[in-house]
Amino acid sequence: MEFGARRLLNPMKCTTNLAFLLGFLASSVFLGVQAADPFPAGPSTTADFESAIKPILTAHCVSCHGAQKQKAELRIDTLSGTFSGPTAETWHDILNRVELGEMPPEKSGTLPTRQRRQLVSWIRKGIQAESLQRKGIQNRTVVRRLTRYEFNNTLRDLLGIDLDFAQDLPPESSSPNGFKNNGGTLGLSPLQIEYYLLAARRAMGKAIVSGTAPQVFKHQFEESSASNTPKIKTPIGNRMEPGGRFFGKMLEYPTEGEFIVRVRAGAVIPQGEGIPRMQVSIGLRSDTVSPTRVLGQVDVPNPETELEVYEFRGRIEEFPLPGHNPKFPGVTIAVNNIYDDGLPAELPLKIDPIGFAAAEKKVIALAVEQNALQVPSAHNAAHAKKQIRTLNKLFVTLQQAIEELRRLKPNHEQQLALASRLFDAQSAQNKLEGQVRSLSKQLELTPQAFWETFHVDHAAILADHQAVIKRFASITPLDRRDKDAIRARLPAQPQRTTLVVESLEFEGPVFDHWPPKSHRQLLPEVPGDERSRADFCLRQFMTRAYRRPVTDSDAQVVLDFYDEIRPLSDSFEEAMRETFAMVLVSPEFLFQFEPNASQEPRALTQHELATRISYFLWSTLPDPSLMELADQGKLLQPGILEQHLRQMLRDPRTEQLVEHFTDQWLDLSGIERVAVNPEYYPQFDNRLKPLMRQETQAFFSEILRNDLSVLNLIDSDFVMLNEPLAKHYGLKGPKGGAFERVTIGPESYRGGLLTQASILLLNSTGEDSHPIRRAVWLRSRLLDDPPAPPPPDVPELDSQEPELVSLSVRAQLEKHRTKEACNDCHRGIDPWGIPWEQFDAVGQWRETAVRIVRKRKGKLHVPIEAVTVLPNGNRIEGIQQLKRYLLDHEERRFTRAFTSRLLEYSIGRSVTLNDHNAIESLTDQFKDCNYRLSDLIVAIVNSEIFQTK
Amino acid sequence: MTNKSWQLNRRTLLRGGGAGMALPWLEGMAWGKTTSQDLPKRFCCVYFPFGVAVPPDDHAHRQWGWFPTGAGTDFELTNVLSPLESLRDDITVIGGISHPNGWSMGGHDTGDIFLTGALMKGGVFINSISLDQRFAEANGASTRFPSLTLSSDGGVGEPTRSCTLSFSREGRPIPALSSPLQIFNRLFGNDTSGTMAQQRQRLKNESSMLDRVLEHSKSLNRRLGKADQRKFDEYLSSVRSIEQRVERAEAWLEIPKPGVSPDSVDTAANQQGPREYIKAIYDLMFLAYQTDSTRVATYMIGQVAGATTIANAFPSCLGLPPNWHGLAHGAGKPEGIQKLGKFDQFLAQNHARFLNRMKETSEGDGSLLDRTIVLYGSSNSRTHSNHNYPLLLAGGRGLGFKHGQYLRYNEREMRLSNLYATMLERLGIPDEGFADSTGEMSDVTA
Repeated sequence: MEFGARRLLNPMKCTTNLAFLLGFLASSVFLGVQAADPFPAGPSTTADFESAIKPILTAHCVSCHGAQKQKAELRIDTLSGTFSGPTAETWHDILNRVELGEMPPEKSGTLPTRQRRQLVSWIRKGIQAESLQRKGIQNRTVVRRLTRYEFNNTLRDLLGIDLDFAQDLPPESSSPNGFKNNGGTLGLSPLQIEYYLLAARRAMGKAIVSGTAPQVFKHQFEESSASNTPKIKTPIGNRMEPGGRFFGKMLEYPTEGEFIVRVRAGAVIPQGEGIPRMQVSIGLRSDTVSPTRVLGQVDVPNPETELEVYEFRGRIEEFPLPGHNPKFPGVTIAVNNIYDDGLPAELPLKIDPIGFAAAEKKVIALAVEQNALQVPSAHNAAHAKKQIRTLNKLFVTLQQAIEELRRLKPNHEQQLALASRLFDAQSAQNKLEGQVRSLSKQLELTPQAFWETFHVDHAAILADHQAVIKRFASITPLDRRDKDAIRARLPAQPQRTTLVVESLEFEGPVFDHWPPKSHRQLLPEVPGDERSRADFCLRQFMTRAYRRPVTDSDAQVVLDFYDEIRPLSDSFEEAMRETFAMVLVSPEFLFQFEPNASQEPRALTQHELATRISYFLWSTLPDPSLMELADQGKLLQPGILEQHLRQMLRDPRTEQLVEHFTDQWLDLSGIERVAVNPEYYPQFDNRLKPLMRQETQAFFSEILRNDLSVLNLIDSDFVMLNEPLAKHYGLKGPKGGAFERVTIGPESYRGGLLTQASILLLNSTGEDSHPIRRAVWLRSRLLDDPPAPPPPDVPELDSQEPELVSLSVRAQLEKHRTKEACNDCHRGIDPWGIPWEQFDAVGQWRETAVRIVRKRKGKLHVPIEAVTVLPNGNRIEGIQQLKRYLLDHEERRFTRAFTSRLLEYSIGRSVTLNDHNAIESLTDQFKDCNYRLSDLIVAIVNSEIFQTK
Repeated sequence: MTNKSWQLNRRTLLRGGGAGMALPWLEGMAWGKTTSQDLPKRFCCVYFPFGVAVPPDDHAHRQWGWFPTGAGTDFELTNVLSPLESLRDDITVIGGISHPNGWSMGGHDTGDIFLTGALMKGGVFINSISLDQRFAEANGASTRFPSLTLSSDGGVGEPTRSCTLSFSREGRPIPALSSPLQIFNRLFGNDTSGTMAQQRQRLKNESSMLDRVLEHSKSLNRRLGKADQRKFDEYLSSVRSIEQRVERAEAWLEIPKPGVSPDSVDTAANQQGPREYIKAIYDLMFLAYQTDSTRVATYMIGQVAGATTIANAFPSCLGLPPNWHGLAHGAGKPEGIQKLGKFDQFLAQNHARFLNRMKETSEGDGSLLDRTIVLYGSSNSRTHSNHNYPLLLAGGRGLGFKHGQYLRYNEREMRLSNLYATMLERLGIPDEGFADSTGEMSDVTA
């Protein structure tokens, strides 16, 4: 298996696959300074090592990586001048660090340029020589089985039945770079074979039917059925404001087969409101607690005067159906208006402000003890206490007002609440200032010293409050006690966006003829006896399932089985189901089978190539047109391959590439592993999470389909938004749930991947940003330069520690780096994460970071610092400068990394050092065509790597 | 199938009680044999990641440390294990032992070897057979399922971050099931359609089909290069072992699956609701034992990589943010001890509930628990420290275990594999030790 890239610098966990590692790091090998070669004659030698290299290492490296200390678990003094076995990895890692200027660190004295070149050149040559020696051994795709999703897609296309065939298969393991389709990591176990067989039989049971046509159930509802859960208070009926429902309850229903649900619906969309979104789900009961499954969602933009029919299809057996003797008989179809205006459902939410009251006595005592508060007498102390209590109330009021303001948005519904909270905030702030002035005067302190006494970063809080208040400069504050003014400004109760359902229809099972299409395709009527029909049907099926022409001997293996079981089976159909099932558990179906027993790579056959292409772009078996080209042997004729690839890329099935490549390359499923803490984000709706993932995919898809440069992934002048996400970002965007391209101005900071909520959230703690995770993600995923893993037992930064709690994250990290052991690695990591600090865990822009202080049961606002200096000395402030830097200085590393990752996905194996030249050349081609993704895909498919086994 | 007598008994019992109907299992009776001879022997292991809080004895928050205070029979459970107080005479807490092979492995890497004791370092990720599978090899033939492998993450994960506790004789990870619905269906679902004769025919077909696929695959294998052959061997050996399963299924065909009502388990539970989810998994293990569907089960609550385990989010759903990994790291600090302790207490509550159900279910003269060895613990003490595993042994009185004690060892003198060797001996596999065992742990046996 191939592991290790993440485990560099960690000999304990070093890899068994050298070539893989070498390849992984090759990116940096050849990007070093191109200088005069100090060792022009031949490969690196041990003699050179003793005379030239060892003295350099001894002088600059061994004090930290020698017998006494082994920082980063690396020991250099024991290296000899060879590259055999795992030492090549160590050399490669050394090379990498030296070239990046990370090693040796400044404190060990600068490495003179001449010596640095010597070292770099010597290691580089050694690795090249080692790599040549191993060429042809490790850089071939290992026989690779279908992934869960490929298995599912393949069965669906093979049988023409859309069911979740992979539901019982265990989740896949990931390769070191996060890919699920890596032959090395795709394992097999008896349990999987068992479930493959189960899935095959289940599939054949659906595809090949027996007996006469089943009964068809039809229902039509013009009025909603009653809810059987009176607890649910959302209104039920034909006219649904957001949250409203309409039910159709069926006591008689099919238990198998495809069905159609048709909803005749329209919308009422008041000025400024969004498009209602219809969700249809099917389950046991009308509530949400009992099992139910979503059938589909769609925006309904047409007015109710022009009703339209919306159609949904599904397989009924995939929905929860009642068992025997159910408590609640019947199946319920629920139609729901799930339009979300992006505003919180209920206000106000619970707030935990920082207060003085709880700690009042302690604070006074502390103040007296530290002589910060000069309290000469008991009387004065009591007086001060009382005033502090008043202060506390004001402070709490102020924070509550600010917290609520933070949550309010300037739309008409909330104008009133806004104006009154604004009034509260401003008056509380004024009073507070006055109180503090008087109290600090009495205590002979400056206001600043007064705040400091209470360990409150007043300046930061004040700045934050003012920033919030400033946002609403156009709104006149309103005293909530002023009834007349309120009445005058009370908006009329607005109508919400409404989904109107005229009727709901169910029909199932649906089929054009009996037996259905899948049956007729698998078992066509052909002249001749049953045996010859079996032969014909089987060959036809195997050709598609094996994705290549079937030989007589291939067919014979399966036909023998048919001949054995046919006399024992009740019917021809039953025997064929079992026979087809055998094909579906055969290795030539389950694997991309490209036999080559020779040491030398060979060219793929036409059909093998067609299969690779199809799984690369569509994650399924080749369609008839691609198969036909392979059958005719035309695939490699000039122009034909490219033309066909471009045709495939225009097909909607290419969304499979978009979905799976972005998921795996960028780790988008990581979003699900981060639990957003509602204490920090009371407004956050978990339904946004899948939308975030879709945004990133829609963005990638937009680049692919419009032949845009992949540099747009770093920064772009457009974003892909739907209504909920636009609201989340505070941007103007489309109405409704569909994603649309929105052009943004140069002042916006949302272009590219780095500022998408998906990336920001998945690299957060769910409470706050996590600059280290963001940095590691950037270096690994975008630059192919993963930092070494942390040593064992390294503590996480605890933002709750008293000396850290009020510091910005940047300041916390600085403190962390004062520990030398941490600094060794983190000076190369942290700076890449700091510039994103203006974004919180859920990806929203922020002025200050919120930190809930558990001891004080309150919220603290700490400043944001997004300024950093990269290890090479470049100063970067904020996310836009980071993007600029990446575009200006890291274009090659990024595009090369992108090429390498896409290649890895396309061939289903980790890339190795031996792929180095190919990747360089592909990257050159990529650059020459302005980084157009479609051109890179064509170039990859045309490459020798892709076309050989 | 040499020992069929009890199966026949059960079939009679089932028919008498109305086979296929939900039996009144609440009455608390195991479904195996009811005479005391040849009662089943069982094994169960539940593993949790990231370690526990281990404050010194004089610490103000000692009550939130995992290990009890005191020693021997004179010990006090802390808040963390207090849910097990009523089971005091059925449990033994063990401290101070570990797998010596784990000492030189990464702090995140030892979940893989918790039940195997193997050495996985230096780039060699080859594991060895796990304790549960060794027992299943010897004993699994008497039940419909030789073993049940469960985890919250499901699948196998990656070496050193495996999502399963169970490894085959070849050291290959055995995929864990994670969905309560899927587990329920596997154990109790009757999705087989058709008459008995048709079902038997299908099994016969399956046997012949797999036989042919295997033969054909062997010939394909000869056309592959070396690297491909190594990979393809996973397929070949999987098909081979599934053939054995078919034989087994044939033997079990006439014995209906136990009729357990789906209402006995919250099959809709999922990992987003950890309270319901963990309870459902424990319930499924309990039902599997009670119905004698299997005698071997393992459950890995989470694997030891904060970045990838779904269990990392479990504590936050209980109001203990931000995540399990973070909680464990925070356990070096006073406030953190309590936070991690509270979560560990929650886990102990679940475990106690399971043990109580096992204890309340009678079997022969004793209870289900009496003939089940239940191991509970982690391969980290303090987070990422591969020493001093927190371990809790329960049950197995009927197999000769004694309880009501807190044993503390010096890791140079006692190792976890010795406990495993003792378990194997009591499970009927004497004299072969286990992994790197050097002897037995006699303190746990009567």
